[in-house]
Amino acid sequence: MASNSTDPSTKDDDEYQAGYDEEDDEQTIEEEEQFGDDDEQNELDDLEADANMPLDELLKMYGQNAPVIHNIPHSHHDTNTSSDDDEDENNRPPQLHHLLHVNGRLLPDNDDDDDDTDDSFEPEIIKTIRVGEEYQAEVEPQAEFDSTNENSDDRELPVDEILWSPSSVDDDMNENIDEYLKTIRSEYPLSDDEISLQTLFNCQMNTETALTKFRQLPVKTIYSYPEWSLDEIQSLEEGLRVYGKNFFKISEIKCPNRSVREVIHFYYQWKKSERYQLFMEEQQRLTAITSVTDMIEKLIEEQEQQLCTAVGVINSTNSSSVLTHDLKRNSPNSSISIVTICQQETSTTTTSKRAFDQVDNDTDPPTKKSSLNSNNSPTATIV
Amino acid sequence: MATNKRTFAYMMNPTVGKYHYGPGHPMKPYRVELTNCLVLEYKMHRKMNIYCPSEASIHDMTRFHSEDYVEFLSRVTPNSQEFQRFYSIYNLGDDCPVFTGLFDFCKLYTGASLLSATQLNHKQSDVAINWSGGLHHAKKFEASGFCYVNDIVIAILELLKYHERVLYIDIDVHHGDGVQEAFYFTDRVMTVSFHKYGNNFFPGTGSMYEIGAETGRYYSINVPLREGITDDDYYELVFKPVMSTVMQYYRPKCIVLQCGADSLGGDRLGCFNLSIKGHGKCVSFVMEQNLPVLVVGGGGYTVKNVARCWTYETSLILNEQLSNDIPYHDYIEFFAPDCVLHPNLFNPKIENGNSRQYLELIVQFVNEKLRLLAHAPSVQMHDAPPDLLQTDDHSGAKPTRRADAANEFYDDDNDVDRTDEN
Repeated sequence: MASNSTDPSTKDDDEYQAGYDEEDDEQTIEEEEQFGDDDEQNELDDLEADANMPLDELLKMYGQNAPVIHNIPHSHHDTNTSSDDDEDENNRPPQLHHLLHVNGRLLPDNDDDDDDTDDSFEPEIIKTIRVGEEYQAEVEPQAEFDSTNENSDDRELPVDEILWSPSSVDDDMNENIDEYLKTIRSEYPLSDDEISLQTLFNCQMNTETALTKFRQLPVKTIYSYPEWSLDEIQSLEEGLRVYGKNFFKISEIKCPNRSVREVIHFYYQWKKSERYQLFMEEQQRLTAITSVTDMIEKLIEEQEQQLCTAVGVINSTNSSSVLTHDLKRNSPNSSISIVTICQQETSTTTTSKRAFDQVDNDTDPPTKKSSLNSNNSPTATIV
Repeated sequence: MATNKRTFAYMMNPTVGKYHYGPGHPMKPYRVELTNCLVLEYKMHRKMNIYCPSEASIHDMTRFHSEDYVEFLSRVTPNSQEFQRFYSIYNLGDDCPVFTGLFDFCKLYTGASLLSATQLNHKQSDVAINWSGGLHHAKKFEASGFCYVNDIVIAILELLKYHERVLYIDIDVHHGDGVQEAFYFTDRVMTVSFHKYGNNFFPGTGSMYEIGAETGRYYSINVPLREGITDDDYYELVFKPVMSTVMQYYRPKCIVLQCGADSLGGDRLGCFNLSIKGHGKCVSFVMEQNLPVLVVGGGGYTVKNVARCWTYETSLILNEQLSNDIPYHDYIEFFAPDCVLHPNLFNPKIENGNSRQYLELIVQFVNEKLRLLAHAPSVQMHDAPPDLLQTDDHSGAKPTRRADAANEFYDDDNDVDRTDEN
């Protein structure tokens, strides 16, 4: 944790404060001159530095180490400084509906966050809790316990479906249930256990009636999506090559008979299949990595880059978007999980985002290949 | 209130995993489906009631959100020129892209949270779990941080009909700003959030000085942390002490727990170093309080770890032991090559920026604020008449009325019962 005592921005009276911070800020150039910068050359230098200051500030702010603006030893803060705002904070009447981030000694690196200014130039994005009618929820001052409230309850339970309840199951029934499931699985290998159990539940746990009822069901799977033909799979792969993971486009253009939902559903299945392996290998072949030495070099580079990126991203300064901390986006060539050579999928085409140039953290080098059996039931089954 | 035999409700909607935020986006609704898969594979359905919730309606959502915003969400479609003009008004576009089926997705997860709340209200369950919910960043009239509709706020509003005080706990790595903002002025909801703060980490709010305002003063607790925090630090030094004090001073009637899994190590967006077991300790703590609990999901951007984490936490809720080997199922490949429930998530590249001293100071600060609660005139801490009757039966209770104390309202400079300059 950085030391706090040299931090001039704390408004705590007990702490040392660099005098120039408080006094200079709202002053004009005349006042600055009073502090001894009488030299004309100095003044020119200062002015130049002033003009350059924004960039410096920016660089410092967006650089690797979270900088503290107040360490800039010039009095050219003018309206850009945060200590300016410290003064404002001190003087500002507390009923203002901005919750101020008071500079605290416990949070030394957060000076940047603590500024509250409406200077449009300020490179910081100031976040405060917004207060006012437009922001808060309406909360009744007390709970209403009386029964008349029941009617105003818009959520009526019967609309929601209960799929399963263990309370209707006694322990000795477990064997029966297992038998029941086995029978169904042998007759209908593609069915989903969830449906069979739900049927059983709906028949009050009576396995015979449930069996009859189940056999009559038109749809024995949770998702009634028809199987994907080879042609369809190929168009999906085409779509992925061209549009990346834009499923809307894929569904619209490449797989017009499939809703977006179906495409997404199938995509996750396909991801774990052999075809996916082939697909990714093909993507890799598009990038020119020839020798193993090349790969090793790239691996080392990438590991280093990862290290820098991880730290850099942590210190990045845009808090208005979650995605600035998306390590994957910031280092498209790397994978944060354990990198092995066979997993590494690098792409030198950083301009093109269409191909699979982002490593999916969700894929691991599968040690056991699973085959996409076209007869496979699309969902998990309760074993 | 049930003593040892508790009932559990689990929200499972088969279509909620069928949405995709768009190319390259880290939020993957599919993780909920993977979680459901694992939960069933481990046969945890044997101990809970499984519900397929219906969708929430626009009317449900406008209980919190502005009508314009919800209207817009219901009508917007991707790639449509006419709507794109309005994206910036509602903060749609980058973090919160407009994808196909966006509104359906919102209706599903909000409906699930609402059903959970209703279950708790009518005492049909003691604990309700909705991993598809927990989108805590959404604001009244805009989307934020991958969240469009704030199901948590809507669920809490529903809970408030039957529970006097609701406690909201947020262990997502990001600050729970949407929920805090919604309830900033009220003492009926206390929001506690443990999150990474500083260096402009999203969303930028959540300093420990945000304690609430007016009637809600001292009813917002924020525990800002630095990156790299580990299990022991998190639970022993921070979570447990703070939550113990909160429970002692606030004595809520029910709890809403947001279990964002991006506080785990190795998360794509997060920067903490918690293990699944460490994360789960927080859930166990909440369960031990013996209050009705609504458990929701939240962040979590390394899909397989999210599924593992939430499955494990479901088992903690049910008090079930799970084997570390994930049982074989259709999606086992997602957990290859090790296929274990508790992989090592520790990321040594991230240094722990939380010194013991820092953590102690924060906890001390929070405790100071909590102690002021006992003196706050606007909250009835002692139980009103309803509790003298059967604890389960509220129908005969009279609504509690609180007289406004003379110093009820915040009086800015004249308010002498402020003890510090915050």
